[in-house]
Amino acid sequence: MLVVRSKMLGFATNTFRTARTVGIRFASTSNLKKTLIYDEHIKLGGQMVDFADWAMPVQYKDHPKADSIINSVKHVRTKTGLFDVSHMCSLRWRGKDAIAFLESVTVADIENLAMGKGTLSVIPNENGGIIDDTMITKTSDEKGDHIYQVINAGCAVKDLEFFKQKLGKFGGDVSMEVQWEDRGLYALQGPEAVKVMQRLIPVYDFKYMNFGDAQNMVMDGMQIFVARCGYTGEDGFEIFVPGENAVKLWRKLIDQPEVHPAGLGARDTLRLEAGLCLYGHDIDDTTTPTMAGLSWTVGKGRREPGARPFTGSDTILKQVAEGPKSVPKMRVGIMSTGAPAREGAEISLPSGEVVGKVTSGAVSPILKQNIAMGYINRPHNKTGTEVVVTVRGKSNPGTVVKMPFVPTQYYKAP
Amino acid sequence: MLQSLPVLARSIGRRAPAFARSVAVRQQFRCFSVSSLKAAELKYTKSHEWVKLDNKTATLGISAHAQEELGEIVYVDLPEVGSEYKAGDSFGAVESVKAAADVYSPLAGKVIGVNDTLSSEPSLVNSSPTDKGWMIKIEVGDSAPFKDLMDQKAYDEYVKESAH
Repeated sequence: MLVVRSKMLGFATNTFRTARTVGIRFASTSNLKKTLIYDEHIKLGGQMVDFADWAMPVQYKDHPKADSIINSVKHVRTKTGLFDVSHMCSLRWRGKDAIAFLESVTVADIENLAMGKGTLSVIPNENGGIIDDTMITKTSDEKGDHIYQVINAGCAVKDLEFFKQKLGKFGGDVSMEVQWEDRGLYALQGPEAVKVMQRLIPVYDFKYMNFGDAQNMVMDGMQIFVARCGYTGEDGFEIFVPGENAVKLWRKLIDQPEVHPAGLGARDTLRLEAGLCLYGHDIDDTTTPTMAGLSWTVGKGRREPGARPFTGSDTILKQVAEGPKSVPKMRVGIMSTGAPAREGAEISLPSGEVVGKVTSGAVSPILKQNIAMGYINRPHNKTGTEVVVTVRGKSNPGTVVKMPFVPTQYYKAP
Repeated sequence: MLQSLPVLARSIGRRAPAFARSVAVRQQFRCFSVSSLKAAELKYTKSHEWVKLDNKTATLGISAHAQEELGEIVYVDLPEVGSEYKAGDSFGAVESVKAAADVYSPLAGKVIGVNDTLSSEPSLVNSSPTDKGWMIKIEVGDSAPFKDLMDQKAYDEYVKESAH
């Protein structure tokens, strides 16, 4: 059986192989990039795997704070989990034309984004497909106002190449600062994350910080940049810390009684339960924002054709204006019985007509049911449509459902 | 994951211990349920299934090592009673939070029992891989290949070697 048929963690674009088998942990991850807190993962029993050429913990074992993947998901939903997301790449865009440039390569309305606010966006290609999904935040630091951006680890190299190529043509006053191997980026996620942050930074009142807000703060003498956001559906924070304090901050957070370390295994299930897309699976070069249900990322101020064009704007704006009827397929949620539907599983109608494909799937530890995301040809994407998902040749009944599967808990200030 | 383990060319043709060949003695050992002796009855495949043979009835499951590697099992796909398999055929699959893996039978035969409890409690494969987590029972046509499987000691060695 150990010819493993398929990997579930949604990392198929990268080789996902466990490095845990007795004694080879170090050997098999030695050619991979390590985040600044690699040794902290090992101390916590981190089971390191290759994720986009980074050695990252898929889960933790044999440590008082280590949970199985299922228990880790539950811990994040009820208390707080701490993820190392330093493998993602941070960028800071500066210069008087930075907004104009970034608007030319994303769908975000950065001009009208308030200072200290962040938004999810996408970087489109010429055909309206998605090169990457990204977080864009307007902020400032000692060097002045700028735009802070986070891009996916697995896409970073091609994104940077794309930006450089576009910068060459753009001219203007823009500089791109890459912060990646040299800093820590951690996600503290769960209903008790705010309690932890409030305890560690008593001078700041987190009650008035909305989900989507970002702010420079000081924790125990460390300068950090805190964005209230995340990829789990829970309230939480992503914290940027300069390299010199990367280990100290991680230890400070992990030592809090509510906090357990959480790995890629839990993260993949949590984001799927929350209905969030994983790049390379649920969205890619061939899916447009409208197909992916991400038309909302196209800022209101960006929707007038020709006004503030961006890569692929002709296609994208037409689809956003006309709505789903302009695209052949749409991203949907599916709940099914029997074997869990996994990436690549065919979706058909009870009549046998094949109408789509699953792009992510798991057994939800919270719902204890099979959940999946996929694309279904219109008009069969309608909520409530009865479908059949084929797993290993067996037909399993399923239903198209609304996402998120597990209600999101994004914080709104009073 | 598990495919990354190199398959080693090892001498695995050890014979089952003598006590396991007598039905009477085997029954007696079962009554005592001495785990070390019970473990000695199991033989293993290179693809990490275990097999227990009682006359013409073979019971199959996945090894403790396999469940450990796969992590929390969330679904077990098992065949219908009456299905027939050739040696080396896949008869089902196990799915964990991390991966799905096919399960193979090293012996040809006809399925005469499946562990239905696993449909509601797949985690039994984790908590009791070689006992309550058994998967199928087959009526074996030719039991000869059984003697070529690894005994516990050889399997432990195989797992250890494969890790390097």
